[in-house]
Amino acid sequence: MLLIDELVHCTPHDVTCTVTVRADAPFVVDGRVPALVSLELFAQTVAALHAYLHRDHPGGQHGKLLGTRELELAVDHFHVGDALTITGHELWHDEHLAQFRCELHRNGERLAAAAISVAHGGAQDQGARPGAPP
Amino acid sequence: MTRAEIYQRITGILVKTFELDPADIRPESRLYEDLDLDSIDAVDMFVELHEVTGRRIDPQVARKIRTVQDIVALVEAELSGAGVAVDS
Repeated sequence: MLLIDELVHCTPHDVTCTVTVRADAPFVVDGRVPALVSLELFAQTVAALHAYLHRDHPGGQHGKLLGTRELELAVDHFHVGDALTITGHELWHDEHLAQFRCELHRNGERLAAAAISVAHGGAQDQGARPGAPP
Repeated sequence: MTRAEIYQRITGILVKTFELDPADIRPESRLYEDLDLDSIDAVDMFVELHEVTGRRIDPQVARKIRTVQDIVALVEAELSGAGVAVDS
């Protein structure tokens, strides 16, 4: 279930994706989609970065959204036709886990933000565990 | 920051971020076994430590952290520019 349209910019630690909300897109009801879907947009944006950075190994990577902190939603819904820009900035990572600060904008206005923690590369819940064996 | 100030700062982060009871936090407290943090919490903590030290915590160093005192030693070393001080 791919929600984002394009990966438009990335560096090893930053990523920008875009999507225009379509009437037939998942979660759209009566021409609008709950702003809570931002979380999935954030996760897919981070996944797009990871996939791009590992494009030489297609299919060998997978990830999971583990959690979020400080989710802020300025609106309840997005509407069909809205052109949304989603950004992610990596705050920390190791070989298994990472945290990104993500934001969603429409016409330059920030509508959603959160920090999301993700597992990547087939991580188990041991990667950054203090005291875990190397 | 003095070591005591660093300890207070770390304690404040643990209380605020993970809703821990300050009375449960001691220098020797083990993050997992005693304070019930998990690996996702650890990522949150390393992000917070970045705010304190101004430097990204090295994952190799992060993996060695076991106790509150380990965090204090890490922050103290980072702030002094001496690098990592956590025992392996």
